Amino acid sequence: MKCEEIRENLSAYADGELHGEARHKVEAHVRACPACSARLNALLMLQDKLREGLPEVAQAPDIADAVMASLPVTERRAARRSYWRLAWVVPIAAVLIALALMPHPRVSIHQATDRRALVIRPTVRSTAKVSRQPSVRTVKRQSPPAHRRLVAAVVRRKAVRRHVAQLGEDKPAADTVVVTISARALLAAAMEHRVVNPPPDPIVQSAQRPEIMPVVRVERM
Amino acid sequence: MLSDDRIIRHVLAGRTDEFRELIVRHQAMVFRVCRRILHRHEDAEDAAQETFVKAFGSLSNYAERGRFPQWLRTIAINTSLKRLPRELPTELTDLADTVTSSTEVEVLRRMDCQEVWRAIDDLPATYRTALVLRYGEELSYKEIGEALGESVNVIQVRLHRAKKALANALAGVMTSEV
Repeated sequence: MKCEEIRENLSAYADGELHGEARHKVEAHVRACPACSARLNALLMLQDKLREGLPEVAQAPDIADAVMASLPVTERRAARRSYWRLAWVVPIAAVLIALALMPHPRVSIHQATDRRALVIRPTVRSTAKVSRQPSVRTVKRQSPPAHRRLVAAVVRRKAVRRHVAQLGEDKPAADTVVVTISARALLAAAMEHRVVNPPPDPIVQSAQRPEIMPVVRVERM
Repeated sequence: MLSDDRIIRHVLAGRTDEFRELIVRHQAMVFRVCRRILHRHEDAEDAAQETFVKAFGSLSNYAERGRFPQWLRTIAINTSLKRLPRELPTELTDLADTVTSSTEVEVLRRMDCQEVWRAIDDLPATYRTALVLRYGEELSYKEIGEALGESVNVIQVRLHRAKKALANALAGVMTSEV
């Protein structure tokens, strides 16, 4: 092995930090190479000087009082109550769980005799009653797009009117139908400009009542 | 006597005043490390205080069970290094062997130990720190690597070059004196 390669390891060898095969190689080379042997001697002497001549460090000052006084109160609390750092998660999680457990909003659509724009308002109908409405199931079963589901619901207006009567509500006028669809369906329909922009309205067309426009009622169940 | 780890658990449980015991136990070591890296006594004292404040703030991250002094020493080394005045970037390449081994031995024979350490003060901070941690604090290459965030191989090369730079500096000092 060349001297250059050995000398790169001589320092580590002198420090006792060379192990295994590398150590054996250095030892074998140094025994046979006077130049590297002299270099090793110089390194060992340097290390002795460094260890012997280590400058004394003055007596360490007592810094306990200064350190304790400099610890900020907030930091002391932080060290003590580090587990409170995540406490803000609890109320947020509670709110999210409560929202997740709330009933889904549904929408009732009334067809009225005038051509007023859509009216969306919450009602107080109970969950149990509304969830039994046949039109809800009808709407959910229909395939997209959403406005076709609206049409299907309106076509079945007779069943809906009968159901509304069972719920004890005022009987809708003869030219009014009530359907219940999910809010998602309403939104999808609105995005397709079928409900937000009434004419030409598929509901109207299917019911063959050009003068009838839908009135939409949003209810929170 | 309670172990360091037990005291740390107490501090984290809210008995923060017990942190004082950790300071009393280790302030001499922390100050010594800071003083060897920094030249001025006042700077070393400030660095030692900062070390304990940082340690307190990071106590919840301490995970090296049974190795609190080593953990504290690493903070002390890095705190001290940050306080060193910025040096111009030094090219830490391997120096040529401008000094023969026989000359080096002769220089070392005639030179006082304190002169050797004074020559170290003039070396780049990277070399100086490596030599201080190795021969001042008697740390192994592995411990130096852990403290400085470097591999053992890097530390080995750095110390090799530091010693060569020191030999050249000592020869220069001897020449200028003659």
